[in-house]
Amino acid sequence: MTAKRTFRHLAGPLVLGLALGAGAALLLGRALDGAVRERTRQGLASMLESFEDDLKNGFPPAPAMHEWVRVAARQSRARVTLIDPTGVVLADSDVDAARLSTLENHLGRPEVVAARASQTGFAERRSASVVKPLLYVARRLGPPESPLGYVRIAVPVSSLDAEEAPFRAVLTRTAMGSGLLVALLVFVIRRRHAIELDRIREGIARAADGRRPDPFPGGTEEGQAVFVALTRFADLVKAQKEGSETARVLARTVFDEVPAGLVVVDRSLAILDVNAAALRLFGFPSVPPTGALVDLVRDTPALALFAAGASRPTGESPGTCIVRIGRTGVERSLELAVRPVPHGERPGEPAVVGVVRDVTERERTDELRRRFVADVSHELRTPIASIRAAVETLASAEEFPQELSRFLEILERQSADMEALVSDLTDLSQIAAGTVALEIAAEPLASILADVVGGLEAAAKARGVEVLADVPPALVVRGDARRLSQVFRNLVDNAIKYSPRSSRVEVRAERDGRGSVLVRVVDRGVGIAAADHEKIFQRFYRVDPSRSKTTPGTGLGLAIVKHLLVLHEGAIHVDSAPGKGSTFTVTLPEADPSATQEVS
Amino acid sequence: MTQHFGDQLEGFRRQLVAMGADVEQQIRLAVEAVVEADAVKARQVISGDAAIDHQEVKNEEDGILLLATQQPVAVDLRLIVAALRINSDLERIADHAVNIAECAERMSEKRPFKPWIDVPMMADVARGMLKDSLDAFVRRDTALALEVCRRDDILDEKNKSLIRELLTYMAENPSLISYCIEIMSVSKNLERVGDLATNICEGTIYFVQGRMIKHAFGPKHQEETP
Repeated sequence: MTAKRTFRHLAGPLVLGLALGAGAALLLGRALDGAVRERTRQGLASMLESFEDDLKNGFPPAPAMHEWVRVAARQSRARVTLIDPTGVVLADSDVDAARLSTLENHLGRPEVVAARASQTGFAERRSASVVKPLLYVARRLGPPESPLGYVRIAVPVSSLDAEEAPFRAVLTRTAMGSGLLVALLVFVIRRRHAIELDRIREGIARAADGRRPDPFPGGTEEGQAVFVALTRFADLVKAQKEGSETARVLARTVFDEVPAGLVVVDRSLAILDVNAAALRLFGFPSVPPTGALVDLVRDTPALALFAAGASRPTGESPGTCIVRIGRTGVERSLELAVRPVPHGERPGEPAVVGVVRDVTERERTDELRRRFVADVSHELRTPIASIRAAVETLASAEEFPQELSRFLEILERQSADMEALVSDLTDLSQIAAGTVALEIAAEPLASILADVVGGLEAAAKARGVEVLADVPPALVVRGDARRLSQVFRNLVDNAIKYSPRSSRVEVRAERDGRGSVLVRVVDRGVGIAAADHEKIFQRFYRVDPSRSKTTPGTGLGLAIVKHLLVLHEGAIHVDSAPGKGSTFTVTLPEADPSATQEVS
Repeated sequence: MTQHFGDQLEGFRRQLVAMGADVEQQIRLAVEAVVEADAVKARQVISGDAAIDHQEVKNEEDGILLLATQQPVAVDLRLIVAALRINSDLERIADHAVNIAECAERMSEKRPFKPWIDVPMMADVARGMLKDSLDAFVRRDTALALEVCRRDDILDEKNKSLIRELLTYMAENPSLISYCIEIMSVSKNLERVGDLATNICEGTIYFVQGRMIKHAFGPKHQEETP
């Protein structure tokens, strides 16, 4: 504890103690004063009573009276005065007999006035005759209605003070001593509390840092309770800090080691953080010295995407783009996805995270696949058409041997399947290449579905399946009639193929009340497990590979359906479980019915 | 005040680099338009030039304003001076991209009489030089800048040999003359892009080292190591 603090802690109690001591001394002095005066009054009054005995027969004659006054004064060591009933001073121990006539009439003196009324009267005042402060006691002689006179006795006040002085000194010393003692006590208590508070403060500082506080030996009970609480707090903070440190290290490690490039920028597009993968992908050995995103990612669409992300404080993603870097031949494609994080206005606050992936290989593979499918389907189309034409010619030939017609049927069936496959492949590659042009118009749904059901009637009959269509005639959808027929033909054909004999396939349509039309194709067939619901829309996916031999199909139908519906801004959804049949629900945008007349 | 100037200067520099990105994109599209005989891409390049011209004017105004109001010294002064030069070089590169795109548009109706070999190769070198010259500016890398300057000789040589080759085709078959002239024009424009990329590198070296190396190419460059 510093000297300054010690002084500050001491000064207050000292002033207080001294004030207390002085106050006590004053009060006690007053009490002493009062007590001494009271005692003197009582003494003087009882002395007056003894004088009354001498004077009960009236004042003695003049010479004897003077002698009596002197004797009485000597006995009582006080000034004695005899006053007649009219107030004339008859004798006074301190005034010569010759000067008595010069004295004022004493009937108006306060002690005499009081004695006349109640036998004994007191007064403390300055004497006019001997010119010093005196304490007077007067006593009336005789009855109040006809007093014989008054006898008065007076002592100087200074003699009383002299009598008090030794007591007063003791009192003052005691009071001041007690005051100092109080001051010392307050100082000690205060100092002890200050030390404890210091320890608590240090303890809090340590605890906030996650370190346990030093124990407070000899502290108060409350201090000990604080110490225990602080120890628990320190343990909590420590655990928390260790936890967040682990999380930080983990996040940092993931950020540094993840193969995707990560770039974090603020809303002014200054780089806040960038991982090694991003630097490698963008071909930078280190973070650009300026820390500007434009130096790292010098690509106009990418910068626009980052800027769009930075202007969305809500964290809504503006999408992705492809950045091409390097030269032709060794060019690489980077896919940049921009993810804004909720942010404020402050610079230096993370606003956007850019996620960069090298998609060169993926793009190359996709391109190869697209080209391969397009080329193969194109190259196969002509030979298959020739085979089919040749088979038809052979079948119609009269001289064709009957025993070989079985092979002809195989040829016909297989070439028809191959033609369907090539046709599907062509469709799919055109859709993927974005070269399918839809002729969108308002089309009455009922007629499309009636054509589809009618076209498949033979196939249904062959399998013993009944197809029922329940389509309100007023429903009109926006779409390409030819492509929509293709969609529903695929769905109904599938339903027939997977239905058991003598079961029923239903086609139902209705409005959903939100501007769309729902078409459901319901069968009671084998059903599809939930795990396969998404996969059936992928190319070449067959739920049960063992069935692909018995149930004809390319595995492309549903993929084409899905792509065509996406082009129509529609959707498809399946509800099914094994053994429970399947319901395929197609959503299509509804057209304004009044528009039908004009279009169709 | 100083911080304010620093911000303004950095903003000005970023504007220039962003314009560099646009110009790189223009050159890329223009070359693709030639090789893929894609008239749509060619028109995209031609219509994109106005924005770059506009940006060039804005950059120039901002640079002059900084010079006039802030009276910068030393490296700040050199940055602004270099940036103003690079700014006009970039604008001219964009103009060459437009020239190439115009050739591509005219050529798109005809089938090439020989496979594209030299033009894509020259385009690669020119684009690489432009990219590296901007990288050198961004990274203040004078070694890279000097290396880009040396690469310019490849383009000059390639341009000359292509012209010689095309002359023989034209002599043999006069019907190819108009097509060959377009190819020559593309080649010439690419060669100019290389020259301007070299200018950008000179600007970078001036900005970083305070040295003017203009008109001093040739054998002397071989000694210039950082």
